[in-house]
Amino acid sequence: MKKYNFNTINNLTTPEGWIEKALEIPQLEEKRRSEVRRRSVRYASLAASIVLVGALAVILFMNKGNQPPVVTAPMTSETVSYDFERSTQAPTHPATVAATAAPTVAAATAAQPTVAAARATAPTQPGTQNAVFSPEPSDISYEPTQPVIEPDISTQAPTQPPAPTQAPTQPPKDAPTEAPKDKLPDLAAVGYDGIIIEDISADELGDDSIICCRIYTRDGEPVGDGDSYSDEHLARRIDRGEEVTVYYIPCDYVVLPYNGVYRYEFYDETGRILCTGSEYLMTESIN
Amino acid sequence: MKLYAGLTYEQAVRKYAQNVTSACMMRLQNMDDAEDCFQNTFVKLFRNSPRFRDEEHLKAWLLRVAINESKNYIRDNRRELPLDHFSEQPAPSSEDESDISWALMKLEPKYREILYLFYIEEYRVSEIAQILGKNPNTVKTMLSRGRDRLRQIYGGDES
Repeated sequence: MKKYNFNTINNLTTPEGWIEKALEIPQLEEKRRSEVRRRSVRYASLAASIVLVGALAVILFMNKGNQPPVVTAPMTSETVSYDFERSTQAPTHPATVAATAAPTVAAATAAQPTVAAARATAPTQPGTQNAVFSPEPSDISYEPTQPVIEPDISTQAPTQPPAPTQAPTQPPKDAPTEAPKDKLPDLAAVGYDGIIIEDISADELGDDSIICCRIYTRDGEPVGDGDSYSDEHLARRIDRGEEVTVYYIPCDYVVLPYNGVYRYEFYDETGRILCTGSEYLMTESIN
Repeated sequence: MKLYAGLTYEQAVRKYAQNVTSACMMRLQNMDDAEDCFQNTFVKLFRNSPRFRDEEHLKAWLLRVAINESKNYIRDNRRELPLDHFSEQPAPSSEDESDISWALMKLEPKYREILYLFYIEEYRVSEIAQILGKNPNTVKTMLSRGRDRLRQIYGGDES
């Protein structure tokens, strides 16, 4: 290798090739910058695409998550709805009748305007303590001073057999008007799944025995019509020789307040309890 | 077009190429290695040089970059010419001149650079301090030690 001393180095001439290479540096730098610019644009567009795809994926995922689950619960052939007709036919608590049979109550009370008016206009005789001012039925403050006259529909109630001797201990009530503890009954079309089946010895039943079923909540409250022998308590029977299979489908008649266990009892037209048990019944909205 | 202390890029390259080459060779002792550092120095001049007050400022800046490039090159390549590299000396053309020249090459690079800048480039201590990024007192001390070392080498006492 060539050795260089101080003087040699000091007198060294820079090769022309070095200088020419150094003079090309600006062009090379310009080329490098344009390459970098092109690369950065490419990277920016790639990053933008990734962000866009990611955003679309997130949006699709969130939309998919928001879709309601498909309800595949089996539905009954007919839509179950609360039958106001049946409820008004049952002779029950007067307040309930007044609430449910409003038109007829209004009609009944409307029949008394002349009487009320007469009372209202009756001059008060001094010393008379019998004069009573009664506001007209149309007044807001009107309150019937006499028990509400049952509407004519009471006479239209079908003749029912006498109450069974072993009727439920609880006084018959109409369907609960207040929200139950667990869940508000959905009075819109509600269907639920549940069938109660029992096998009963044919000896216990007559050929023509009518079999009914009643269900009770876990609190012991009866569900459904207060009339134990109304159609909504009618069970069906399948005679199979020595045994009779009876079954009852609550969804055909009533609205269950909750998903859960209910007590049931099958009884005949005399009120004799044929069998009891408990069953898990479900209510699901089909909407 | 950018100007460097009033000079175009081409003018600056042609004017200070020799100084940059010498500064690189002083440490590297190898033309191929020195060429890399030479090119790197002018790349830095083109890419990110400051505004120069005058040509002296430009020259000082170029020398500083060239010396730093040479140092970095040696560090990165883990190669430094040993001092006994100069044990074999070619026949001098002039006896006195060559002895001093070779003796100078026997100095450690840090002393060699300072002596080169002081005696050959004729920089003042403060300017050398700016070029090398050192304290002026440090430069004075190294200059003094370099001379003592040279005296020892030239005088035949290399201990």
